[in-house]
Amino acid sequence: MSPIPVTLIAGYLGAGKTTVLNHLLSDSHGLRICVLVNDFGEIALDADLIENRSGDTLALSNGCMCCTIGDDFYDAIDRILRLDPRPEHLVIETSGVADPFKVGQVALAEPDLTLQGVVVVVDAVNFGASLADAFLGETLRNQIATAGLVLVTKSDIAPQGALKQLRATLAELAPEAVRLVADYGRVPAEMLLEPLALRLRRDEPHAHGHHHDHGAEYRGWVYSGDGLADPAALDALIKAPIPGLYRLKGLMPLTDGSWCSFHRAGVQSDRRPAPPPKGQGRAVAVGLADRFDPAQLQSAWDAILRNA
Amino acid sequence: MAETILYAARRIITMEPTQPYATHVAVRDGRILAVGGPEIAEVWGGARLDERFRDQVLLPGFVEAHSHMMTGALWTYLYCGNVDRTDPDGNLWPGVHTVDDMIDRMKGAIAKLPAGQPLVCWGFDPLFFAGDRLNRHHLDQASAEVPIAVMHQSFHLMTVNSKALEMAGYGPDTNAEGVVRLPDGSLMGELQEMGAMFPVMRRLNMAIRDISKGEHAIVQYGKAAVQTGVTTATDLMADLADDDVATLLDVTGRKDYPLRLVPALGVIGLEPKAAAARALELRAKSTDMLRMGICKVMTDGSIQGFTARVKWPGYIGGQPNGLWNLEPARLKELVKTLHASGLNMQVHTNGDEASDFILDCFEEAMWEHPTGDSRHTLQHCQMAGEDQFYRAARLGVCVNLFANHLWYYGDAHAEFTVGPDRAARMNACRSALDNGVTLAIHSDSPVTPLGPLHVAWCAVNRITPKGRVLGANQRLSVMEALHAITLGAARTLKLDREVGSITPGKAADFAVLGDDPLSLAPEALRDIPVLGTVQGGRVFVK
Ligand SMILES: [Zn+2]
Ligand SMILES: [Zn+2]
Ligand SMILES: [Zn+2]
Repeated sequence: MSPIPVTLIAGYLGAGKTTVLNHLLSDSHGLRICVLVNDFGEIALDADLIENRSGDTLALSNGCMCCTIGDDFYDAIDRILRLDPRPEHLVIETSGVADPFKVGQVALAEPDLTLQGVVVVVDAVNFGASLADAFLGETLRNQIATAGLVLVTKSDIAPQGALKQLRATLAELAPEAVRLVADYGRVPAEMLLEPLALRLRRDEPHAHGHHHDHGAEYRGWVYSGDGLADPAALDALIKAPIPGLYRLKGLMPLTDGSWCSFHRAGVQSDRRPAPPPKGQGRAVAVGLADRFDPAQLQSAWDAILRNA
Repeated sequence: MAETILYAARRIITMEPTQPYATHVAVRDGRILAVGGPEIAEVWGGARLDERFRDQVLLPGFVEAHSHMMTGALWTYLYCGNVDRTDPDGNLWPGVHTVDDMIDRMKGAIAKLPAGQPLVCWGFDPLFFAGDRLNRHHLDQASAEVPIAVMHQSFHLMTVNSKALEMAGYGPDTNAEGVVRLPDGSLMGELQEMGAMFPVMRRLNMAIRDISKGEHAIVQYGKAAVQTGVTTATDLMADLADDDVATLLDVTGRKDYPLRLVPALGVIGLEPKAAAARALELRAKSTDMLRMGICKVMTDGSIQGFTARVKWPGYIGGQPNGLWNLEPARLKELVKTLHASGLNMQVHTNGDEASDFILDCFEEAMWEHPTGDSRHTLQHCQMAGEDQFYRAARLGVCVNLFANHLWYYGDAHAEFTVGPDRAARMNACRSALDNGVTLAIHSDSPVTPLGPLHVAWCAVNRITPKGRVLGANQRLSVMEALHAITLGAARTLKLDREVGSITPGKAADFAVLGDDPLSLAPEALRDIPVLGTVQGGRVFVK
């Protein structure tokens, strides 16, 4: 049995962890994800999505599940490892004051788990004040320092000054981490589930005698739906120059009834036949925040779709 | 009418100011009818004289206000500690002092193990073990085939043999932080913290939680209590699911069960309102022998693990400040909700920043909901300064200090964690009393061994294994220390109306001692033999 990949979602209270998790669980990525949370009341999942509730577990109609940690984190992990079938991915919401490095040790130590990444959610409006809090500052700095991916929420309502300050703080605390603007928790599931944080790095890690910002800010775009893609139009789109686009990938049904997977990384692109997945067709893109315009990609995407 | 029995003793230490000492106590219906001299039962129509305690000293039954249920059932595992200890069934286990001793004991146990079973050991304390640090090569001498895990006394570390490492899939590629290596880079066998211990515990089926509940655990805990003079004890963090409660009610309700149990509901994993509702529901199900309704709140970690939240100047080694168990904002909400529901909280706070913060929470909660005598208790509260004791007294908050730490970790605190000055004011019992704070002292068994006389000995002497006296000015008198393991502890649990002193109307709960703590040198306190207990008038003495 291959180990279950684990993603940790850290961040202080109110940063938006639960919104991110709500999106992840409601999304039609087709994966059987298990999300381990402190309290599932807070995630406020759509009632239609909940298939069954028993004690500390919510089973969702899309195959995902949500478990509460209860009073013993390791007990909860043990329960999940005993599940049959095992989930395809484990996402752990850590408490707002947890040290993700410590929590992540179990995924490094346990052969049935593998640590995929640490995602830290930061709220652009309140992060500055939290950092200044004597009870919290050190803990939060520490969280950021372990992040592979930082999700910035509430950037749309944060004052310009606060955003600028936040960028500088993040560049200093986690120069290697990728930053992704994720207002309202909107972030492509793939960003959380794949070791994308590594892939997004612009260069390979090297000796550090100096201080500079390797991270960059990204913006995500995601599609899921029943539309069929026109093969020629899709080919054209994945080769087209799209400003700031870093990565585009997906799994889509074509107008001829077959399915294909495609991806583009930088200038490389590829499309090939694929077996039909369980869920709907979907696509995800990530681009540099200052140049990539998700709305522009959306209209280009809409143009290649034919109704099912 | 129920029979009245008049016990004569060499001396009775009552903890009551009106009559601190007596020689006779009359018992009827499990309660104390009268206390005084040989004639004391006459006004009650006389009594049957029982002289079995003629040469013994009776104290109020000890109240262990911070210990855990697993104390008894831990003995399911093989004891490998350095001190001589008696298991709940009365068998003496001499301490092991060398690797050879330990290997011998393990080989003996392995010979009796059913096939396919791992050997799990406990009680090992590297601080008190001479020679090289224990590693897998030592344990491999006991067996190369049977997986062996030795839990350290702290429960934060374990050392395992090569077989157990192999089962956990640990090898050259393992890069988890807590998997310790020898100088040559090979695996040492020592595993630090749960992240690293978990893979071994899963594969060896070490269900630590299972030894914290169930009939066997409850029965063994009762036996361990009798041996140490304890008649009322907490299980200071329990799930208390419905089936657990049913078992607790059943076992504690048996006529030979010797311990009044006070389990505290662990509330950290619960939403505040749900926690309060559950605690109230449990409180309503309480019986004389099973007292539920108190709540256990966690705030920070441990000082020796550098996870306690400490105020400036922090740890002397420059370690980062410790970890909160829950976001401070959530903790405050939890405390306020429980307080507003009229529930009593026992709050784990090790570092002085944590105790400060919880005092803030209590104060805010009390402003919003003045509820009178709430008697919340700071548990451990090891680093509190004068300011915090003064404030606790004003708020009516009690402290239950971890006096045993002075002996078990005192040298480590002076040398590695907070330095000699702050170590000297750790578990500042004198400051608590002088500031007018209700004081209990505890063992946190099984973190340190159950035994209130040892805890009292620590509070009185404050000495360490290396011969330090940690804070001579914080020492208690023997009488004050005995108060802290009886009436003081009962007060922190709000049970002083019924137990904690020997006075008419209270439960006939006594600790039966082989000698008189007040006539011996203070250094001898921990060596006084405990012969058993009387609990609710029932005699539990061999
Ligand atoms: Zn660099
Ligand atoms: Zn504690
Ligand atoms: Zn404890």
